[in-house]
Amino acid sequence: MRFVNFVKAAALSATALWLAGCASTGGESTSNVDTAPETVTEEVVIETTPVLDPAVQAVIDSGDVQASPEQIEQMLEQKTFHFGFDSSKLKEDDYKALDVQAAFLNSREGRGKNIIIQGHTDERGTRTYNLALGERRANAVKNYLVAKGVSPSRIEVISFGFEKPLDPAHNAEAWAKNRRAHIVIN
Amino acid sequence: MKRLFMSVIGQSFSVSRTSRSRAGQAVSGHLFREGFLRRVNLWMLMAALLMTMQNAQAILTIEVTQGNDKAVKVAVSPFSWSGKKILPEDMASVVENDLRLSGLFAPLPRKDMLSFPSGAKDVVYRDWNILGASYLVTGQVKQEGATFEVDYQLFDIVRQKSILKGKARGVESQLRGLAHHISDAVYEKITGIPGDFSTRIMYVTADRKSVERTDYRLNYADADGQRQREILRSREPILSPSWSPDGSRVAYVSFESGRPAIFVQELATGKRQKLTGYKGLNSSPVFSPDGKQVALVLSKGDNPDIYVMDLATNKLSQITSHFSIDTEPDWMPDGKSLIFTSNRGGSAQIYQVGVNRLSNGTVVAEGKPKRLTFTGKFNARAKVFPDGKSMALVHKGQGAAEFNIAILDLDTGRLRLLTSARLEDSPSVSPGGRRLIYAVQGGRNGELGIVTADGRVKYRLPSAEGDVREPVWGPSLGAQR
Repeated sequence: MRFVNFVKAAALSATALWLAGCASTGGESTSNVDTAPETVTEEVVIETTPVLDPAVQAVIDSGDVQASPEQIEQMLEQKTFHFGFDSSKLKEDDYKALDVQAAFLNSREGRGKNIIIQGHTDERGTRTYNLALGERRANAVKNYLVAKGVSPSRIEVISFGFEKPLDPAHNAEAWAKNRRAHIVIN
Repeated sequence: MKRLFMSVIGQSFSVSRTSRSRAGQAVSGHLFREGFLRRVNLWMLMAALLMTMQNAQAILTIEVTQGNDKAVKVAVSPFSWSGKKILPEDMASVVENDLRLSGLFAPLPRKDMLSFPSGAKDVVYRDWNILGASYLVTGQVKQEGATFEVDYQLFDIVRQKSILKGKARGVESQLRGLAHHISDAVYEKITGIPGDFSTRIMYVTADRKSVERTDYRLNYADADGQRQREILRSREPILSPSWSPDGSRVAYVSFESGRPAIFVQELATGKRQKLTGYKGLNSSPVFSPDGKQVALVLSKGDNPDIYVMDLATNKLSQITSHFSIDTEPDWMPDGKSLIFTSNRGGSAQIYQVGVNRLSNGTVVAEGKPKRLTFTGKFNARAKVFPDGKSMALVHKGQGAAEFNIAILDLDTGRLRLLTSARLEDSPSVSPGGRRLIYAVQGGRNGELGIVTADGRVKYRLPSAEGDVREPVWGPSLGAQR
């Protein structure tokens, strides 16, 4: 996250200065623009040398995941996992992202962190049945992480049933968004 | 103030005159009634004004969505009043509304009445007969000190006689309660079945301000939605409330600490006790019929099972133990078995298991759980009727069917759908078993619905405070109101 932000910021400022540079080559120049491009280009080059986010680095170092830093970055960002109706089965695509989460939690960087997994459902069925269903979803995520070596004592599961919908609309699209387990890392 | 008063009198005259000309056609020569009518009309109007003011404050309103075309016509004459101040409640209209909401009665509109009798001496049976009323309720209210006393009477118009006479007494804040008591007496005299008007309902309101913030409140009110009082307010979810059998305590799940916990709270004092706060689910508390135990759901971080907590010893007994979801327990009226929702058969269905309380406070399951529902893809949150012969539940049929309230007859196994809105939840049966309250989620805002057990009459109770949900019907209040 921090890494990406930095790259974005660096890229943005570089773009701005490049544009300014173009303007300067266009003719009218100011004293400001004259000297600036050189220094900044230099800066960008220095800062984009791969200083990886420690979390991403930790996952790479674990050797548990085969993926590019960008992919790992992206998978670390994925904290929400969606489910089918009345189902607490994880989807095939989610396993890899959870592998990355587990690798991070097992790494030196992540070892000290506890997590909460929230379970959520859509509004169909009864509120109290959905509280139980939400817990099963959160437990599905927990069990996977535990199987990957994360200690269960570091994981708390809280089900909210459909008390906290992301989208309160009464349609299939909203329901799909709301059926989820969400990882919060402390 | 004086000017306002005068203009009210002016209006009252005109109302009274309309009534007189009609009354004149039916019964000529009853000149003494004119002054009486004028007086009553004034009080009626004042009462109506007061009612409007009160309604502005009321949180739940009632909208009848389906009426009964075979309802019995009953007339509730405005109660006479001899006090100096204004009668703080239009008690007759409270009674009238109760009888309408029972689904069995169609009250005669006041504007159609030819006279407003307050007791036997003013009743002209012929008038009421012409209007098609089968019964007439009258009342006289007197005040002595802080005490109000109501003398009420019920007349059988066909047989032309008084069939019930009664008195009810209370202070000003109890006037609505006294009116509900009169409704109960009238209902029982005519139908032979006790009324369920002196009861309360409890429910949760949720006012969603944004994705991050919703304000939750646990409230209770009279069964007609009036006199709302707050039990708990929180920024985190509140759900599955339940009444103790005597109506003095409530149990509920509150997420106020960020995690679910079960609390028991005394209504009179507000004093409360955390019953459970285990890891994982703490859900669906429900008092046993004798009030000594609470059935509830715990997962203890693993998977949800049914437990019973003994309130005297705080001893916790595990009743079910299965890797599937077991939740939403309710007691059979004899306290000897529990019904609950389980998906152990692949979909949510209702099961029943016997329970036995040992002398040391431990409760043990007896035998294996028995499946009770076989129709439909989803049957959950069942509530047993007071006679133990049937239960209300949330039912979803095959295909694109909705989640609706149904009644399952436990002898025949026959399932009868009662309602047909979208996303219904949380059925709860009135103490007499004649009406059900439930939640309707599918509209713009969550609303409460009430339906008579025969499915004939339906009405909605929307809230002014966002969503309203998780309704549960309380026990009869008896003497305490």
